[in-house]
Amino acid sequence: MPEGDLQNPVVGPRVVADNQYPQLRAERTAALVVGHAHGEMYEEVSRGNVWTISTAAAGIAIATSVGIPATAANNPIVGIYNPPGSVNMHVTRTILVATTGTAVTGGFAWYLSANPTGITSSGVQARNNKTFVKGGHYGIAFDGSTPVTGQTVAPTLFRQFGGGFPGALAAGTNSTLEETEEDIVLGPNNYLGLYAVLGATGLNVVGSLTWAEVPTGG
Amino acid sequence: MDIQNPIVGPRSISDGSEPQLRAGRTAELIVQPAHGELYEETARGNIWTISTAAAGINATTVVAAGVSAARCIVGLYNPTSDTNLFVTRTVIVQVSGSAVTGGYVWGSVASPTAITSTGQLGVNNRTMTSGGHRAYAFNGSTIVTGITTTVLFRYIGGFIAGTIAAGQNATLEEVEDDLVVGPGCFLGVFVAVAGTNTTATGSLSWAEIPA
Repeated sequence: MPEGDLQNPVVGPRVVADNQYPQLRAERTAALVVGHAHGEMYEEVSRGNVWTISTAAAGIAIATSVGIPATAANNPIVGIYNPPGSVNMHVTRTILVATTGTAVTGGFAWYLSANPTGITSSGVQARNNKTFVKGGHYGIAFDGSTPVTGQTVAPTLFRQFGGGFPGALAAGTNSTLEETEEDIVLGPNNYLGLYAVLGATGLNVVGSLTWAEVPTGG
Repeated sequence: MDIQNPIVGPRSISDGSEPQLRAGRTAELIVQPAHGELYEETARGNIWTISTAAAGINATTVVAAGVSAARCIVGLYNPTSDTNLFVTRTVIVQVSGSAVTGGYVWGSVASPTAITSTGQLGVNNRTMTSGGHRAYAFNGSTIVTGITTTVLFRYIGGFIAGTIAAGQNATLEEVEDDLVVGPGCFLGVFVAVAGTNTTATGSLSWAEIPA
């Protein structure tokens, strides 16, 4: 590179034509001013490292061992288990929609199992966010259709997800809950699932979970 | 005294000065976006938007995910081998009628081989003129002919099944930036199951990026 470029940022904006070699831009508290080439998730997705799991459109009827945490085999609404290894699983988007029924006290919550022993489930295949083809991921994903088997301790409540005021949900009410905070990274040998906190009669939900797989280098 | 030697903490510096850059207390380089996240992409003319007509699309069987010859509310087919389509924003508004179980979803086809529709023209997000994109964009006005059966990829949102009352908020939106329609793939917005007397409007914005 010619002189006066990367090594000597200068405070304030300028107008620079394509193919020029500008001094980089700093701001008035000495931070480097940067611009995004694309949206935040483009690089991760275009490299084929992001997958999504979704429940069937008919939804998950919340009942004992389905959508409610338990020690014995139980189905999360959506969930993911990261087997021991060297991959982090970065949860980037989760959505839940109640379609019929009654809102329960406590709503919905993330439940986790840290270093669980004995999980034997193979889960179901998720779809890649670029190719839309099933499979190719390291995580063991759950879409409500199959249980997490072999765990010896019930998952514990990690964080509230959201919910409705307890009682019958009126027809036509927007019942969408979503989390896009990107602040959960599931390390090796950890389990995370989305559940209703309490059982409910006639409560039916659908949902999706999207995650990126990132090598830990360890 | 430059990028090679950042110093921890803020200072107050005038335009035209050449400061030592700023580091944080855990040794990271402190940065500040010059503009909004999608400014560069948009200002370069690489983002387009497709929208349904204001009257909306009737959610009959032709807009349910999982059927062939589907009419999506909005959608994209990538016929190229050298371009990625990066979905930046989707908005769905149900304007009248009944909510259906399952709500609204992304439906995908991994490698459709027989799509013959060329779709409709999107509007560029900078020049506000129609066309100039490589994607085949769909706004519900025509069927995506030749498409094979779509699969339910991800939920966007929904309502308790039944009639939506007058005045209720019926807006669903997704701004997650985590969907790329790779070469040869199709992605569209559908209702999860067929609805009766359900009308939806929608818009979808996307960037085109060399693969």
